Amino acid sequence: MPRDAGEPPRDEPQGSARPRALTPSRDSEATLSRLLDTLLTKGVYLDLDAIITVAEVPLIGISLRAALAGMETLLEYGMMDDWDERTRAWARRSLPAGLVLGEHEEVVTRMPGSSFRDEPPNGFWQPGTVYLTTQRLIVHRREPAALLWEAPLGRISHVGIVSERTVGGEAASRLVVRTDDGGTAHLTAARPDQLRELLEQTRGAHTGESGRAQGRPTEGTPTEGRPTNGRPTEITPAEGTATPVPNRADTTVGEGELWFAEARAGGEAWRRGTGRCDRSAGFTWRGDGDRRPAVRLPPSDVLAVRGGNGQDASDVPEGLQPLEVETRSEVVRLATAQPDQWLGWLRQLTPEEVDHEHTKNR
Amino acid sequence: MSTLRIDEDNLKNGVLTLVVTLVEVIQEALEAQAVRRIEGGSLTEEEQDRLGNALLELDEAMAQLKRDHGINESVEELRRGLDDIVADLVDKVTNPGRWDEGREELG
Repeated sequence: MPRDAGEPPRDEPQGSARPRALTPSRDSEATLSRLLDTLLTKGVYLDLDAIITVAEVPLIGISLRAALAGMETLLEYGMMDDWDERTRAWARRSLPAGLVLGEHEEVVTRMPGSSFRDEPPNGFWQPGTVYLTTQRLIVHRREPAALLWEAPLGRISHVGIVSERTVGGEAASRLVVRTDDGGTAHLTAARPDQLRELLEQTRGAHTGESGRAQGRPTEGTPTEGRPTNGRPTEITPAEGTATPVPNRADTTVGEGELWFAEARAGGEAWRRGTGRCDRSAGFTWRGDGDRRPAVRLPPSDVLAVRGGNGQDASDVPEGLQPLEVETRSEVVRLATAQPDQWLGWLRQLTPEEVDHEHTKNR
Repeated sequence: MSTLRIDEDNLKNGVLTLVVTLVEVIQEALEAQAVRRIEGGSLTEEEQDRLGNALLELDEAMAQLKRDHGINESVEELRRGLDDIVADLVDKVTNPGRWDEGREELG
């Protein structure tokens, strides 16, 4: 017991002499906190042997050794020092190991977020923390430490915010980040608008004009790596003069319902889906319920487009008109209720010298 | 003799007060031991920072909790009650002579 706690003899009983109107003050130094503190600082060691007997017959034996003390006290006595070292070493390894900032690199902002990992069968969101530094955009997970995704700011060509329906049925804002090597990454952040704004500012401040020179649209299909079945309902292009690349809306020619004759083991089968014409990405078709486009034709692959008269419409679903897109290796058969509209869109993808001999409509 | 005065009207409030008070006592013990460890000199600077931040966060969280539930007063009161009990106890243990006094008073 803390006999040596320096406890002065107590003054005479308090209470009766205490002025009521004032805040009670304590003239004894013994408080619960001090008692606990003293116990921990001195340390308590309990060594107990006991036997419980009934009618002088020993039934239960207890042999108890217990020590309770502050860690510093235990270390002084040479107890648990291995354990202390191991615990701290583990923390040293796992905490700062993950996010290593480069020289002159500073964190501009951080917020909870996640990055989408496109892995079969469906891909998944990996939660972590989104860091915007003066040099990089990073998604980092602290425990277990992992760098989930990163891109240097100079290589990010476009950041868009897309509203998507999640698996749970609610709409969620996703950040679609495109890099100049053609990659597309899907991220989420707690405050996507703020993150994008800061990103634009930081990029303007640190990469200067280097990003503006590449006025070329990025490669890669817009629907690539789409995380859920939902379709983006709103695409907000990045604002500000620093936007180096025409945004997605500029290159989209058209999008709508379209049927596709899919090759199956027993022959062709018509499937309904969504077709999309994009000047930079070309033509893509994604079946209803599919996660990825089943058809992807870069603009250079589209040699000719035929539709309307002269096509065999016998096997096409009722009420639709057939279309054919000829590529170097195959002929893609499509069907639509608006053949004129689709012919117009698809022709914008074909090279100028395309032979238009079959393109007359009824 | 001191009494613990837990608000009877509101059991929930009383239980919360009790828990918060005990956590506060533990928190103070942790803070004191943290100071000892830091003064002991075996912690790296990074560990000291982390420790300090964690304790600060705990302190802020406790303060917020007390504000949210309006239990500042009752926690204070309970603390005083507990401290009185401890003071009595320590007094008795360190001065065995008082045991007899108490017995005489009773007798």
